[in-house]
Amino acid sequence: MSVVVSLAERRVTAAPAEPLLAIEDLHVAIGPSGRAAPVIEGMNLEIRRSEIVALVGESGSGKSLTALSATRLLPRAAEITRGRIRFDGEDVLAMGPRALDGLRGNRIGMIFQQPQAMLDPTCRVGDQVAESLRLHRGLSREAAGARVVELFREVGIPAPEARARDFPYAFSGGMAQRVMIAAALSADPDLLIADEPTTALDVTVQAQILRLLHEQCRQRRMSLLLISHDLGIVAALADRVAVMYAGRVIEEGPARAILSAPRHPYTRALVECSLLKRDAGGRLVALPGSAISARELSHGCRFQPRCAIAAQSAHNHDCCSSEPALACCHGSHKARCWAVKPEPEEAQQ
Amino acid sequence: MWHFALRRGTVLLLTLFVVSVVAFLIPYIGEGDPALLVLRARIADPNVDPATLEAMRRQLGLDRPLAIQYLAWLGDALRGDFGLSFIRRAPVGDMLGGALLVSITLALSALLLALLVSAPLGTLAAMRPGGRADTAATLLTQTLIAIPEYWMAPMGILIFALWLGWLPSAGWDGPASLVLPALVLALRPLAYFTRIIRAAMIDVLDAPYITAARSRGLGMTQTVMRHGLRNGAMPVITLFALWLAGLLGGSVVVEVIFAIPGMGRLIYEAVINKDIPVLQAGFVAIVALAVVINTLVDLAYLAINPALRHSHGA
Ligand SMILES: Nc1ncnc2c1ncn2[C@@H]1O[C@H](COP(=O)(O)OP(=O)(O)OP(=O)(O)O)[C@@H](O)[C@H]1O
Ligand code: SF4
Ligand SMILES: [Mg+2]
Repeated sequence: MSVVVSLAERRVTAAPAEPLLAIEDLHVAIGPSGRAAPVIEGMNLEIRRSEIVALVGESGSGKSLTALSATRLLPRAAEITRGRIRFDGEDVLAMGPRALDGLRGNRIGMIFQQPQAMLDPTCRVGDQVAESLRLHRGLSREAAGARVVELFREVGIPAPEARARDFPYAFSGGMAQRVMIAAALSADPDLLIADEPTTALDVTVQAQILRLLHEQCRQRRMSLLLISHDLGIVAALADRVAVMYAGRVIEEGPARAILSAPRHPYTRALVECSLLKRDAGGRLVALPGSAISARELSHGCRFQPRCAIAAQSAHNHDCCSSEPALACCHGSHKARCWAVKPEPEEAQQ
Repeated sequence: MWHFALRRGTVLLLTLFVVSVVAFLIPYIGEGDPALLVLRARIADPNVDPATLEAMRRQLGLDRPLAIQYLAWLGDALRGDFGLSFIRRAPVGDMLGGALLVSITLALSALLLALLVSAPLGTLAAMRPGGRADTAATLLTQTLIAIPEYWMAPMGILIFALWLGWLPSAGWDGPASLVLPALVLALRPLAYFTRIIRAAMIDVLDAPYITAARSRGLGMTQTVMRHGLRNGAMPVITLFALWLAGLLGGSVVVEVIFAIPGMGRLIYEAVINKDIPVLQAGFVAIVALAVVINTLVDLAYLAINPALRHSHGA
């Protein structure tokens, strides 16, 4: 009974205006204490209720670490050195182990890139999915088992009774990801964090899984933080997009604006690459160079070494000497670039 | 599963066949004349009368073809009859049975004790590599590995038997006499178990499915219990079995110091006295037990790993 009451209560605790998840000025460092190097520096991200936010960016830009920070599941070597993380008004960084266990799975569900590796090979999948139900909903073994079968049906696993008793080796990547989704959704969380949920899957399976995620979010009025480097996926699903580069957000805004009118040179390159455009010489457009991590940087814009605009721009000096702020360019569309000017209507307001 | 059992069974029988042939041939090693060996063991006079030797050959059936002799020996051996000990004049089967029981009791007590301590210690060390528990565990294992049994055993006797008077200093008489030798015998495996459990658990705790379990809200301890231990168990089982097979052959140092009538002492004395029937039986028993232990390990692998079970057609 008390479970039901707290369920009903918690939906109204936060004022509607307050974001469900708010990450502010997050700094994460990796390495042995004393010689830890920063990998995330000044990351900001907000997710509102029922909103689908996509986090995109190159490999190594810190997307996964940002996601893991939200539930304090960072790898051993990594540590949050500064910043604030609030979930539904509560300070996640101040939570003790028990409060965190009550947050994970219960209010924030997570799925990851390698679904098969995410399942304990020695444990029946049904038992693994049942863990959240037994922990957070206090269900008995039998009740949890029955609910797992229902969940399997909901996420489209055929022959759910039999499959619940199977071991992970018997599951394909797509089916394993459905199992992970069932586990993540079992306790009915407010937020689902999906870290590249389809990167390891076939294209056709990818589409099915994305559709499933989208449906579930809409049905449950659940927020989704979708991490991806595939802009096609982002375009199909996300309400809002945040683009990460070298440990912080360099552009964010409504998905349509970001994809159709990207302002930051890095986002533009990202969009062009995803469209497989050809340059004047007929070669495929590719972004030169490779991402630098936050730790290699001294001052100036993080993207400057690879930026085509920096060289010609009147801001050249600024680009090399100081880092631009994440500034408004149109409505809620913001970019971190000296060369980006607010649009006229925005300036008039 | 049947396929697996069949293959295992074939290997087992082949191994035992080879072992029995080698055991049967032991008397022919060295002087090469079993009759002479028997006479030497019974008569003090080094100059053996050829007629007596010939009579002994016939009595022992050594005039028959080797293959027939082997089959006769094997038939007896299968019934547990390995003949009489040259020295004690007692049936070897009985002597061996008693000694094996002693050694198995001692070995299992020592290894289970070692496991009982090393499992939590190694896991604790793995949960925070470089932390306090880890440092303590490293120090402890290094010390235990460095100190030999022939030093540990007398020290144990000195402290617990002579000074404190809590435990008997030697002999094999009831559970109290088991404590000290088992403790001494447990120390080195304890150190090695701790190390391998630590290494295995560090690997396992970094595994993605552990993060996934934590993301469902399982606490650290629960996660380790539900998803850590079973996955980290394989290398530990392997090492445990290796030690068990080793210790069943007896631990000469501990058995001699504590005057325990186990396999180690039995074989040791048999070698010194050239007590051939005891050596033959001991050899067969030790190898057979090792084969049985290996089979048990494979079964444990199957029990732990469902994918393996599947590929063996269970
Ligand atoms: N366990 C770890 N130990 C050491 N360095 C790490 C670890 N995890 C991440 N890093 C480093 O931290 C940085 C950010 O990693 P993160 O996994 O967040 O990137 P990402 O944006 O998710 O990339 P990808 O698209 O490849 O998943 C990278 O430079 C990476 O090398
Ligand atoms: S600030 Fe300068 S270097 Fe950075 S993205 Fe803009 S133009 Fe390029
Ligand atoms: Mg990642």
